[in-house]
Amino acid sequence: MPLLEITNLVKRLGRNNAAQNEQQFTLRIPHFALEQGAELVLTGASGSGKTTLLNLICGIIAPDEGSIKLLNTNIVGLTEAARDRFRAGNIGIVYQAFNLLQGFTALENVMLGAAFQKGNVDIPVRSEELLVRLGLKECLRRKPAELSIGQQQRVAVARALISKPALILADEPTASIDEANSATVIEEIRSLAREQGSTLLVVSHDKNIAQMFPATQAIHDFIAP
Amino acid sequence: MSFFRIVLGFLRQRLFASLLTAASVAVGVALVAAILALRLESERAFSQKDTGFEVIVGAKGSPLQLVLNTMYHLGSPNGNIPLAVYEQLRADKRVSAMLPMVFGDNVGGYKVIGTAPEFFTTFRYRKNIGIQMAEGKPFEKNYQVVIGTEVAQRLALRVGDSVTIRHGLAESAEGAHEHGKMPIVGILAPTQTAIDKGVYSTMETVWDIHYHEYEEAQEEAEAAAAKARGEAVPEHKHEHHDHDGEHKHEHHDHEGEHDHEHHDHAIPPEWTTVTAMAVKLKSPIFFESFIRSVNEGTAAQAAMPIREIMALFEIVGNVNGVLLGISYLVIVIGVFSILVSLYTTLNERRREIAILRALGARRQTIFLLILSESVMIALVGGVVGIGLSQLGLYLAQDRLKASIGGNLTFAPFYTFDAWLLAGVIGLSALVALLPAIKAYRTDVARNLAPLS
Repeated sequence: MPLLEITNLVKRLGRNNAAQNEQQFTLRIPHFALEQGAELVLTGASGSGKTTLLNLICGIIAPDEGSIKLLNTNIVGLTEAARDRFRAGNIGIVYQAFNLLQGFTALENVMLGAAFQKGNVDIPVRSEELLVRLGLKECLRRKPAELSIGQQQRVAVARALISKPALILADEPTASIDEANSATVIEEIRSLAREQGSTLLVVSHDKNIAQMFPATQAIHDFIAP
Repeated sequence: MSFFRIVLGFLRQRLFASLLTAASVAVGVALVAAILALRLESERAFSQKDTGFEVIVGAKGSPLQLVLNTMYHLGSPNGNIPLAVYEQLRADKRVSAMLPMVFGDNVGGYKVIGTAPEFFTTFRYRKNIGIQMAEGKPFEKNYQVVIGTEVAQRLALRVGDSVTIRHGLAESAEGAHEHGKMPIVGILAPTQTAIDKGVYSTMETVWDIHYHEYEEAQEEAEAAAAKARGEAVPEHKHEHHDHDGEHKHEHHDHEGEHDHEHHDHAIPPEWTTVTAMAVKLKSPIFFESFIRSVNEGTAAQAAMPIREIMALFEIVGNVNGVLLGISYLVIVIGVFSILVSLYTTLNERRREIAILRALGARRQTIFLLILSESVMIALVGGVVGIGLSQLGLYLAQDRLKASIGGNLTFAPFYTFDAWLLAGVIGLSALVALLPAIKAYRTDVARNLAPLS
């Protein structure tokens, strides 16, 4: 049984309002599946619906139709609060813009990744270990503004991994960093995900990144027109 | 990471703004707490109603002045009344007991009260609690003094020391009575009332030293007049001979402390006056008729302390109410500054809120987060405010004591402080509802963009 399975998903975005120059976009996915432990890069042009798909998978937005089964749970049928809980316990997200909280230290930002997950113990210790492993030993008490771009991205990676999620979603994780750092960050994500047994779904339009993964799929391959 | 730590993290992120809003709350809370404490303690200080004597009789004038001066040593007495009036009232069948008092002198600024020995046995400073001696004993004869605990502490006096009585009610280096030096035979136990601020001796002592002074002044005047006429200056007549009269008393040598001997002599009736009398009536049913009968006469007036003090508090209470109202308004403004601070920063915080939601925080958590930030600011402001009020009252305590009189002491914490704190916290939670609801409704997907 796949870890993630999307069936007959329809999500309509935007309003067909010419006055506001806003066009309606509909994302249709008849079927998409991801096996446990898989590492997949999802490619596609800007505006093709990659981010919308990630938001749907992690339950930030709900589809108009269809089902999204993760760990055999159809998250579409969950209440918003239940989806939030489910996301906290099972999904880690790495953003292109890192989305670190500026008032919190690197260590606190990582700990926030498990703050809303129930039954988590030894988080401070694990957060520190994770940051040390990512080469940020000297940066534990530093705020994001005091870190380099590469360091910020590593903190964001650590935050996504701290709760040992079943699924890690990475949305253009290397778009804000240079090429040398990109390869390192991707390798770190893959390595840590493998150790934790997490499934990895990366969205990227960077061909170099795609080449680092065993599997690549273009979003147009499985969305319906 | 605990919820509390997340709240603290966000407050730390906006530390300056958080501190400013907390400070505005603190100012309001400090004002209200101080005014409430001051009102409570001044009411306590002026509610000495169980003295065992229900009525005060004194010279005609303001009844409030009579009560404040007699009971709390505030202001000046209305004047004196002849001893005959005291004796006449003592014979009144409605009167159970009377305690005469004569004022007019001070020791180091503390009022000298010439009274009867019954003061130590009949006067109550709290309900059923009589005056106790901390050291020594009550005066047994003239030219002995017993001092209140505050007098002893402030003037560093002990039993066996001697004090010099000075004329008038205010402290002054001048006006020392030549005969006014006498030993301290006892120190009263603390009462936390104006009793602690008194210097007690017999009425005869006070009369005697005043009369001596008068005699000496007369002799000096006669001598000056004779000298002006070219006559021989008469011999010093004032030799403290025995006088025949009603008010005989003996003055012995006091272990060499006095440079003056006090012999028996009579004091003319016009010098034997009483400033006030505490009256205990046989039954409450006599209160009105007794007061009326005294007030209808021309010699004296009678007043009930409890009635006068209540009238005073009614007047003061109106002013107090206005001050309190203004202070409450300052609190409300302070708490509304929390609302303004939270609301205006909400737009820039939408991304933070969206991040927390993406990390798994529920809408309710975000709602509580905003509410908690408001409550934390109010809590800090409230606690600091109460601390400031206590500090302010502590620092101003001596000055307040001097201006208000009575023994004004402040507790470290009052029940109303807890209510005030609870009120401020409740209000802060109420005003935070608006930004909390807005935060609750934050669109996560839109505020996380751009993601790619």
